[in-house]
Amino acid sequence: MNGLGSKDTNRFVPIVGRTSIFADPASPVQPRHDPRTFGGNTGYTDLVAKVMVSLPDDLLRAVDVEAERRGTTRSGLLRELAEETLRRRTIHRAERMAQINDLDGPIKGHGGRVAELVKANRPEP
Amino acid sequence: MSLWFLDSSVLLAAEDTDDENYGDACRLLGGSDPLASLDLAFYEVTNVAVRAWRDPSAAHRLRERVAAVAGDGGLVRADAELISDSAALADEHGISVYDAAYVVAARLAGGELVSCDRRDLVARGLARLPRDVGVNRPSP
Repeated sequence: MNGLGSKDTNRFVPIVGRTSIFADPASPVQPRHDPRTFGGNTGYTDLVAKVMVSLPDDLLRAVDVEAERRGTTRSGLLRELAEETLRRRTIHRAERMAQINDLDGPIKGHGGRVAELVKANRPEP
Repeated sequence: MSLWFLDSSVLLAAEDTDDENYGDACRLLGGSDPLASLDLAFYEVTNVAVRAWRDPSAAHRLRERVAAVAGDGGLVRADAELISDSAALADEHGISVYDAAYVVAARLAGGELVSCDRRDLVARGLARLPRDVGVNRPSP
């Protein structure tokens, strides 16, 4: 996900998501990785973004062979691979969370009201 | 697929069985939607675990959870521009710059903020409670 050609990528460690349906279009703060503005060439046909992607010849050949093997298009294969990669990463995070729950003994109660605790322990100006 | 942006209270709620958001926070952390946060969360969760709870095991798990989120949707890094935007938002809503930073970072990431902070964030429409986030279990 690197190499998107925008210095704004430096702001994220590494952050990937999709433009949320919840984003407020009236907000002065807009997503830095909005696909309409996040580097590269992006256009829209109906509701699907059209993007220009740079690939070396040998990789492109391999993509086309795999697309034919799966009975899909080059575009469809790239979309599947992107979805698979992102889904795999999220599944890995969910599995990791389950492992973390078992680290260092049982999770205990601390009295609740965590939002207030966060504020109470922030440094005073 | 939605990107849920977590503030430190959600991460802490998943570490406190007494908290009213414990179950929903655990469900969110183990769910199938991508999660992201702000780098400030590393400091805030560790600070509460060490200073308030005095629970090194909780501090360890919390660090690992933030790292897991970093490996998923990522951690937004605070910088001068984000803090400037946060200061303006804090002034507009009468909230702290810390809270505003999560709101701004969530918007930058294209996600929606999830927080256990009813008074300053949820009541103002700036975040959702964990229980109001619909998440599915990940399918293999």
